[in-house]
Amino acid sequence: MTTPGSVPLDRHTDRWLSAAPVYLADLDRCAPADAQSSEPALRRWRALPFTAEACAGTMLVAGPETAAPDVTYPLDVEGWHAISIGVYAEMHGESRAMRARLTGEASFTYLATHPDEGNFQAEHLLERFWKIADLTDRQIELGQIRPRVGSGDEAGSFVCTPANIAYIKLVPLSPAEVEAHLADEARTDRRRIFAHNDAHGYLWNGGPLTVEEIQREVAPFADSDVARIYWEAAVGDLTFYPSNIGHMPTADGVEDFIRVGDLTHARAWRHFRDEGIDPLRIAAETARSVGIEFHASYRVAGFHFAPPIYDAWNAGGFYLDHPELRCVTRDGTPAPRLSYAFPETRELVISLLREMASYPVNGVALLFNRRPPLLDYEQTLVEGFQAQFGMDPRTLEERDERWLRYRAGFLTTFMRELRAGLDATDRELGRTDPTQISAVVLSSEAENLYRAIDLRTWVAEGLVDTVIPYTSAPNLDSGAEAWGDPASIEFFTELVSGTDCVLAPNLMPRYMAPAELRRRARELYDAGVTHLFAWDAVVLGGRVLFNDYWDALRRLGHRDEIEAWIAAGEPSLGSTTMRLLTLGDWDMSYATPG
Amino acid sequence: MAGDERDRFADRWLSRSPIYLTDLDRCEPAAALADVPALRHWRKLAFSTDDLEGTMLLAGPQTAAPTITYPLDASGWHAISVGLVRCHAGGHHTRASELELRLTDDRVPTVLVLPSLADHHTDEPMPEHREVAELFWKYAELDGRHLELGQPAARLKSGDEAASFACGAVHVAYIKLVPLTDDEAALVQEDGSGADTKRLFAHNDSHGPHWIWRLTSADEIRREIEPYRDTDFTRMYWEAGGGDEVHYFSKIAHIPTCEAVHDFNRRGDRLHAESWREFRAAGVDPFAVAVDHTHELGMEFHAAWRISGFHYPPPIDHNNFGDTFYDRHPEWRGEDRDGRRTPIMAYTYAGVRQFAVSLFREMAKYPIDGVCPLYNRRLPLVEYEPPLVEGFKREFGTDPRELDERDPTWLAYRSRILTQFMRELRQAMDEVSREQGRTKPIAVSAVVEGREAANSFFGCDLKTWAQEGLVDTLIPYVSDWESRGSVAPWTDARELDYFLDAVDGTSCVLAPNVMPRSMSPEDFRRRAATIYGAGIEHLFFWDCAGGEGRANYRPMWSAVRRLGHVDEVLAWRDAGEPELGWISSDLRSVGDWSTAYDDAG
Repeated sequence: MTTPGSVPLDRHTDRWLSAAPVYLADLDRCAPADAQSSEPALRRWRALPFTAEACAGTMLVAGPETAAPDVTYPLDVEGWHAISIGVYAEMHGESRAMRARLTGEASFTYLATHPDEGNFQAEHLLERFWKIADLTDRQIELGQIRPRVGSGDEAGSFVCTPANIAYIKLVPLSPAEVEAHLADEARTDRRRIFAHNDAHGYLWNGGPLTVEEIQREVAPFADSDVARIYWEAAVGDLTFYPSNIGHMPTADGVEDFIRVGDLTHARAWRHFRDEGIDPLRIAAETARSVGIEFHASYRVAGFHFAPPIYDAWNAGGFYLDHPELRCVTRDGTPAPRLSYAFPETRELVISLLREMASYPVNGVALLFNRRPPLLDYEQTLVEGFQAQFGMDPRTLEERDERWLRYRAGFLTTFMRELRAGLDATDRELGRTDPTQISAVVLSSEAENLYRAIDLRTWVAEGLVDTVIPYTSAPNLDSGAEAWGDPASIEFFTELVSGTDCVLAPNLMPRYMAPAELRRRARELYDAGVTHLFAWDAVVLGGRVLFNDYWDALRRLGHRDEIEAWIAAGEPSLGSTTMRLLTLGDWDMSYATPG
Repeated sequence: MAGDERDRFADRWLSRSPIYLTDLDRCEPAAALADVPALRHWRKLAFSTDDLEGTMLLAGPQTAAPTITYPLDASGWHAISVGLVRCHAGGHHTRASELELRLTDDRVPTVLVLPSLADHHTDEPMPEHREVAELFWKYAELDGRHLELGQPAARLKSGDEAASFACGAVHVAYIKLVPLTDDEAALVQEDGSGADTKRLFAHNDSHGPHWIWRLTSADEIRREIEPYRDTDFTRMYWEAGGGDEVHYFSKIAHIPTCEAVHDFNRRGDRLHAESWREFRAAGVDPFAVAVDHTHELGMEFHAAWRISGFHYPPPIDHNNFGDTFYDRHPEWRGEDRDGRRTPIMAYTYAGVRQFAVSLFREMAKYPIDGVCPLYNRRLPLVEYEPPLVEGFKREFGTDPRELDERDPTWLAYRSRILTQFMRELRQAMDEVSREQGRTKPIAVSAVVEGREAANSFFGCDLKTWAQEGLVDTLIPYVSDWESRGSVAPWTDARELDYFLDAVDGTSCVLAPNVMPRSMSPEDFRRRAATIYGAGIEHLFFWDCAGGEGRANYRPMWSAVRRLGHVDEVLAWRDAGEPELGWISSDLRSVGDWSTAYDDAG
């Protein structure tokens, strides 16, 4: 299917373009020349000759301890081009990744392979479609992701993501294609995707220390259908910004962790604190600067953390100082949660959310999809229920509707208090657009009510602006396929029908075949859903690898494109591959293991 | 006691009640323990299950916790197990939990291995998150002996910071002792002496342990062999190298110190090279240590050699740098159907065969019991080299490159090359045996492809080898055409018919390799029953080494180490295959945390 100007409607990656691609495989032209070596060497790219089906040249290779420097390839072209990078994934069950930036860009984009990709493509180069850009007077910088983990300048000082960069592929756009591309970019109806970033994994995986490294978590969404970023700003009173109320996850005094990433994470936060870097502000400002809404997200139940992984965050927390506010189980045992039955807990949470709202955000989001419950059988709840209903709720079945609705009233009170608090903040800041409230919730009406989430009341009273059901599977099962049964979304579509509340079901699991992703989106759109949510739409280790999955996700707001694809018989959306024939002096047709 | 028919799997056949030692904060020195996570310390953490409570000890991936001693204060024979909790390695990292154990006076420790929660690449059932799972270690007489616990650590860089070491995170919840009655102790001691159960052959690539742990001492080499003590294993196939990179101090080949390489494509390759540099500097020959310790355990030692590892593909090509046989002899490289040079050294050329034989002769200067070319990696060894093509043309009047690549006449002709090599190898080993005055000649084994078609295609004429007495033991690797190690071979005994036919009427021993490396204990017994049922008496286990290998002390190892007890295997099958899986218990609390509450996110 094509548009009247003969430009195809399905503009997946660069496959809709008419011109022949240009492969720039002479990466030994990268400058400075002394950043390369013909043999493996620390702090140098290894220049390795290769031949492939469609091109031959010199691949740049860097290993896990290389810490190869950034280099610049002289593109020397003019006009609009689609840019892809050819990478060699190898067969080791590990990611390969690199970073790229065009002249004038503030931040790099990270392009990666999934750990499993190499196992299936051991003799192929894989293409990572980056974006379409006007390359006039612009060069391309290529680099390795190279967090420092230790002192000195020895092999073990860095733990890098290995990179094998084979070629840059450019596809020039015709004038009609440029026009179509720019018109497409200007469309507002495609901005249907909400992307979530836990603001933890990028620190855990890569240990960024600079403003640029924070910006690159947001920048990739500028060229996508993403309308909103849901960036996690806090968990309980553990804040991912310098707070006057909570504390940051610096884990001071702890140098030994059960996972190496936890040390990387703690060190990043210590660095941010010491250098006065506020990642929340940087992320918010970056998102707003590229026209994407920013919603500060909050895990409502993370006041206390379990050993041995997370308890380094417990010191100095509200939980330890307030044992009287803890949840209590049915049998009277104190639980590792703070209860929203208590006004003091709600006041603390609302003060944190108001603090987040003082940032340049469009809204706040409550993440009810982690660590339930928020209310249990606290004495005040039990006594209140007894006073109202004349019976002890602990003698009832735990899903007794009277009890569940009574208990849910406390969370509804919290939502009302939050709305009032944010209204006050908006007035103080002179905000004309009110701070919105989103809620990531559970699978069904019943499961939500069991967790004290009375969605019908929240929507009816206008206490929530966006409802995001995490999955259709019970018990927050992140591995299950969500919304495969069209009936599973009916409660939610009926819930928001006739209201201003936006519905954005989350697409789970985190990875699925791109064709499946398009089919699922179409089913949800057909069911009346207008927006889609992507939990963990993060760069390294998340959905934004620039692989075939991201190629589909980033344009998933184009309903017409999905329809065109289906009408065309659902052609393959897999990554473009190219058979690798030789690498160095090796004939790739020969078996390599062992 | 003779005729005792109890299934002696792990400690489950013992009659007395177990004793759980959960107060691991009694370990000494006390200064090695800490209440909070700290480098070079074990972290103490209170825990409870439905039946137990105590203090577990934890160490992380950078802790490099010191070796500590738990005072057992027990006497007499006991079965010893430990309770471990699976760890979060984090992200896609799959480094397993590793716990080193040694009793006072034990010369050599052993390492217990439990995969992390991130490791999904196994067919073996695993304990769940927040479970304490039991690993049976061994039986021992404990009079006056205590238990040492350690965390193996590989040094990654200089200094004493977090990044200086890499370890497997480990959480140790308890030590379990089951006292043995006198009868049970007698059975255990008798059991180890039964020659009829010594049927198992182990393989160690002598690469993985250096790669993971950056071994630097002779005891760390011995640690790789120690698990076979008092088991049904009777032979160790220890890799002596591949191509001209060898794992012993050679005069004609090089050890993998990789001096010319300063940056590696995998961190483990650097650790491997550094490990060898340390052994060379210390004058400790790991191969000699391995031979001696294997013999000390009463096992035979067979030097195995990857017959085709002369050149490697980039970017993992650190072995290619420096002075190599491959670079010195471009004239002996393979040639494909199209006349292109290939990245193999062709056994078509006498020079290549002579070099290979010279390496085996060098290995045989050690007190080894046998040699074993490994034909299960990096084939082919013979292609369309000009002498071969011309010879075929002379004999058959046809250019083999014009025939189908599987033409039987051509394949039969081509197989003469490797048969010739096997004759030369046998002759050389016989000569060495005579020179050394051995009463028992050096044996020749061969690990080969698992299908007739594959062996034929790659030039391995097994029947001729066996009939001519060129090989004493044949070890089919896997039955899958592509030799993938993850498939389960020999689930159908008919897959073995070709090999049984090849050795029929000869003295050649057949020892099929049991794969995949990790399975449930029940599957190991089923596979063994099938193979024994085909009339085969020996089993081979590729990659038996510690770390990611089979000697891990999980229930699968409890099955594997006794798999030579044919009667026990068959009786278990006849009894309806009772479950042999994990003994585990749910954690109820860890520190101040009730595990009834989700702790994720």
